[in-house]
Amino acid sequence: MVRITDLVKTYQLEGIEVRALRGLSLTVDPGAFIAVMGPSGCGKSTLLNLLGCLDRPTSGTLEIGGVDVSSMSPTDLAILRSQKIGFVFQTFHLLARASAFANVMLPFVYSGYPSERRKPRALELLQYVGLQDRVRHRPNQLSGGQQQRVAIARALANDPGILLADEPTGNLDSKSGLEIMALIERLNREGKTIIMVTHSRELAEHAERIVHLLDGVMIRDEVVAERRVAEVRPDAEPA
Amino acid sequence: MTLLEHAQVSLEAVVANKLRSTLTTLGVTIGSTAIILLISISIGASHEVTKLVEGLGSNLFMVAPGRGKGGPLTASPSLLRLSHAERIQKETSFHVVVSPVLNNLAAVRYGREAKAGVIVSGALPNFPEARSWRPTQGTFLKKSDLELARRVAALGRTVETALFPSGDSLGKDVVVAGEKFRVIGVMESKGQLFDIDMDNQIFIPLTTAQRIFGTSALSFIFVAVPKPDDIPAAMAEAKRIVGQTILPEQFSVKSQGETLETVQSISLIFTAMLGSVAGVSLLVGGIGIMNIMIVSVTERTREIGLRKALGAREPDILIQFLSEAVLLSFMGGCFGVTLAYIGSVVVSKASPTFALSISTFAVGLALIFSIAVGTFFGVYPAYRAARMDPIEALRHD
Repeated sequence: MVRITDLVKTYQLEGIEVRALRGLSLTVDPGAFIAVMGPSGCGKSTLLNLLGCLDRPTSGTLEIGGVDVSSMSPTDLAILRSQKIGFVFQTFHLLARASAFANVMLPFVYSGYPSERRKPRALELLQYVGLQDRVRHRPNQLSGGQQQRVAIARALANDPGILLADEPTGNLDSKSGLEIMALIERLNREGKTIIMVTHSRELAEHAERIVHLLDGVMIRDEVVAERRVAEVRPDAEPA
Repeated sequence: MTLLEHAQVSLEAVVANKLRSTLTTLGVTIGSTAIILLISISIGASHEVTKLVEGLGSNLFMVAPGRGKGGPLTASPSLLRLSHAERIQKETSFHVVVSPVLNNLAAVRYGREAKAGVIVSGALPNFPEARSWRPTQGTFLKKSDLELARRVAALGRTVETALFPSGDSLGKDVVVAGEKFRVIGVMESKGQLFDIDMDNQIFIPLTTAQRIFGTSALSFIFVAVPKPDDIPAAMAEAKRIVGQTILPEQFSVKSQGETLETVQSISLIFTAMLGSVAGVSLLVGGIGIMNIMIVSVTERTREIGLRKALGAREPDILIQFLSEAVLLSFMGGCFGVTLAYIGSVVVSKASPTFALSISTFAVGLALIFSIAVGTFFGVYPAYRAARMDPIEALRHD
């Protein structure tokens, strides 16, 4: 569970104080799928950075799995990131010189994952995202959708409970975007908590709940009445 | 993260930029080559010095004409006479062997074989004792040879080999300065001292030498003392005794140690020169590594951000980039070892007398230095990388 209470984040930008979040409170249940929407500058990215333990709040508390992380040391935050959180970025952030396999292997060194289980785990994850035939390919030999799949496999490496997705389909065509959404839905169905930042209403409707931000505060907490489904579920598939 | 994992990550980064990595290591390569050659040359030189000391005999000093700092074979107008040698023998309080010589260069001929530039050395019968240099065949000069100024000769090994390829020189007559000399002995080989072949020498009676070269002057007076410890005191006495008849600047008394000071000072200059080359190259090499590491850190800002997002702690990033710098520098060290080895082979081929052997110690030291340089100059870029804000780093383009 993620619980945010009165979260405030201010920072200095060229001498001017920017109040990115101004007392945000939010609770995300385990296994939930929420979308965060709002115009640029509303505090979406700041929120995601705080949720990802890449930054610390100015005030307020942020609990992840019952632990208050708002005053943790950078080292403890790093450990938390490696174990509890998976990142999916708009620009994939794959290492260009490394193969799909090597990219998925990357998180293992920082989490101290048992070395004899790394290789099978990485291969299993690549299979999970449907890239068992692209294991040795480098990012520049893969399509955008495939690259994002590699990034998702990498985010899953240490089996985190929470997946933070920042515009995960922003750099993809609609077909690949939908495929990625299907993958995210599947992960959610299998128990991952998904927090996705997007400015596309259409994409946000794949979530069960949409949090609307404006100027650092939540202006609306919307439950999606009719969820979009991208995933073609095997049991729903007509023969 | 284990050390092996760090090493792997660094190696991948270094290999990814082969040309850049190789060029970066150049400074350290030159630096460590210089270190290895420097140490090997000083060790080589000290070997030469030891050889020279042994060649001359460690309980030997000599009175030489002039005060020049030249080597033992430097010819300068000599005021040394046999009387000086006799007075040293008589007046010194030590039990010494005084053996004066008169050296000259001449051609030696036997039949149609001739050898030019041979050191013709007029000597006394006590020469083998004074110099620990004995005949292996036949005999050395006898007292009667001196008294009668006979034309007899003991040949150095090189001369014998040149004139008598089949080795049957004893009893034959060789021609020196137009006169015939009967070969009575062949000396043991003393090898080369620097570039002077000690065996390219023949010994004839001093009296005969004085006659054929038309001089009563001496080239050197060798004085052997019973114990090496006696050398300073015996030298002082010899100096006083000779100084009674000729001016201090007209002669000098030197032990082999002093003679070799010249050699050592030359090797010292060499050492200093190579030492500064080593120092400067390592410094420049280190700065080069630092520079390229800063570039590399900047280029890989996004990678650093990503690694941090995936759970890398500051020390992980620090070690990653530090070990990359050390790896570059260590590679430079290894190239340097290779280069120094090639250099030593070339030098040894070019000058067989100065066998340059690479010592393990030198190799070890060079590698340690290269690692130290990489560490020292790698810390700052690595620290910059480690301290990066992950959010900023991820956004970097």
